[in-house]
Amino acid sequence: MGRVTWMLALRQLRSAPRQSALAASVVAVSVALVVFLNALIGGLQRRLLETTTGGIPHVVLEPAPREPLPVWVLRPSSDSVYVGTRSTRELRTRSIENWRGWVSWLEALDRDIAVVIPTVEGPGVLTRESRTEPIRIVGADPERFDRAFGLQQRLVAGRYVGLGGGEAVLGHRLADRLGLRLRDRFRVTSPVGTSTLLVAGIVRTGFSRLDDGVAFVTLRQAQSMLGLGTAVTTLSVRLRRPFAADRVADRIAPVAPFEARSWMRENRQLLAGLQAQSQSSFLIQFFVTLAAGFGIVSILITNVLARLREIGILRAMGATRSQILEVFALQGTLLALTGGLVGAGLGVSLALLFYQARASAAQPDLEVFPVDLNAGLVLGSVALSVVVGTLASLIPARQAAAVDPIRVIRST
Amino acid sequence: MESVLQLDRVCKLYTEGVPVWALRDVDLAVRPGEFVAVVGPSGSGKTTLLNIIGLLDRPTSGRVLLAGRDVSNLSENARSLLRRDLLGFVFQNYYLLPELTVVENVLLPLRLRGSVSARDRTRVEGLLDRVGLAAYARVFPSQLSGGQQQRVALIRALANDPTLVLADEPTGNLDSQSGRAVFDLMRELNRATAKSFIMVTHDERFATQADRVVRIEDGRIQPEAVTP
Repeated sequence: MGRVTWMLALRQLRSAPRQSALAASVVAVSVALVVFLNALIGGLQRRLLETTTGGIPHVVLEPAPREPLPVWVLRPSSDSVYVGTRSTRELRTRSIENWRGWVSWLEALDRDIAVVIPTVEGPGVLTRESRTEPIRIVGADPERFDRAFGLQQRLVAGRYVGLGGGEAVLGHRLADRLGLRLRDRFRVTSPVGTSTLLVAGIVRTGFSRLDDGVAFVTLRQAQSMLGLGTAVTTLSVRLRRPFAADRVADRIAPVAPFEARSWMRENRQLLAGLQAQSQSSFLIQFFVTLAAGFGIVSILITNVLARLREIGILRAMGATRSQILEVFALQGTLLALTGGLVGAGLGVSLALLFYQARASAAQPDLEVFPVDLNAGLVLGSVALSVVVGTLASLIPARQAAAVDPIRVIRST
Repeated sequence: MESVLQLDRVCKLYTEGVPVWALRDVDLAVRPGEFVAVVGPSGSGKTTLLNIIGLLDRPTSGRVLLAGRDVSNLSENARSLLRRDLLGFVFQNYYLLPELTVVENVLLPLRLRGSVSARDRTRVEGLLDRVGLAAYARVFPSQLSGGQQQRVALIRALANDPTLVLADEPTGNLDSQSGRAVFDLMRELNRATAKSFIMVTHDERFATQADRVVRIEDGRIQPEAVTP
């Protein structure tokens, strides 16, 4: 690309400052909208995802139920054959004995697997004085569990990491209902017996399932309360990217003796909703970008028409068609780049302004509009505007390159 | 001596609307350093002739040789490059680019070719100085008078060191004094640089001062009458 085409493009843009500003503003508005919409929808989706998956494993591995066996029964009284199935559903808790091997196998299996938490889960009844509440007992190694769910930093009181035998962390709503405070004792009755536990921590996770009815204990404590020996009931898998869940589950199921449940399969409707939201936002952005492209086309066409004679003179002086094309395509690129950068700045400012809004003074941590801003989004939007601007400018630029010098020079 | 330009039986037929022969069997040869005036009534084919010589238009038949090379059937791109390297244009309405300064306008033909060497720049600035416009180098064309603008256009036409300068009514838009000054300057530069000039004009005063006058009527060149 020659210096002369740069010079001509820049001079032409500068000589019509209002037109240039108008074209750049059209791009700026569209890029601002794309950045802002993406940040907002991304933020809302992220919050929705966190609400959905924040407190649950992305993939849950449980021992595969045995396949119902076909049974062929020969009836002695007749010559017919009875074909049917025999249910093999078990009543006792299914468990995984050799889980240590599976944990290291799983953690090496896939790059998306962040952590595998051997977990013991089972039912229990919590008793405090004369009141009782049904609860779930969740036993896991606190350090590991905390890595996945960040329980420690959501504690209202006490501790989770470093939890000992005979200690438990309770959800804050459960604790409130029963009037339990730090260091209080309570009893839990499980299918195999009754244990007395000490409140070592109270947690507010924001997930009602956890805040309302779970007692977190150590793995060993849960194993003993549920009579599992050294076995666990589930392997909970947290992923680096939640949307890899289906893929990871599908990868594990055929090669391991587990039933692999992905959070995605169990939240189909939510995902369909998110997808519909993404698609409609994409459509809006598509049309906004298209409009910006048309803006550049129309303004540059005006520019070409106003400069027909100038183009003719340049051609007469020996400018090639490709040089003329460059001059006008460059203008489109420069307008789009300028507009794109300004628009990105605007979009980011707008998103941050919305992000400042808080639900209330009482909940300073909860923003009304969660936004998801990242460099990829901002740079991507600018790059998109440059590509669209350049492509759009090719229409007027080709028109300019096709100008016949004879026709325009003499028509004065 | 070999001709800078040679036209052999060049015809041009315009087929849009009623077919019109704009040029019929035109033969013309221009020697190096020669100053040729082309005269004739309106619609006689002067401009068509200049467009064909300037590689802006193609002959319907016949042959055009520029610097010894047949240029009648070159591609669009090749013609652009030849215009850039061998030809200089002066238009009736000057046609300087309004958003470029005087010196930028003058250097434009060189920039279209690539970079401008220090030697080129010195030469072009010398030409500007010669026509008394060195002080206006950083000024935009709109701040100059018509005569000054045409002088700048003349220097622009010479900037790429062309073989042939084509001037289409270069004095047509100027008052008689400025017109005279521009013509004298063209003649002076023609003698000083030994470039060939072809000037289309209506003005007999200037035509008679050319090395040769080519009269054209109804697309035909009339027998030569004046050889000063």
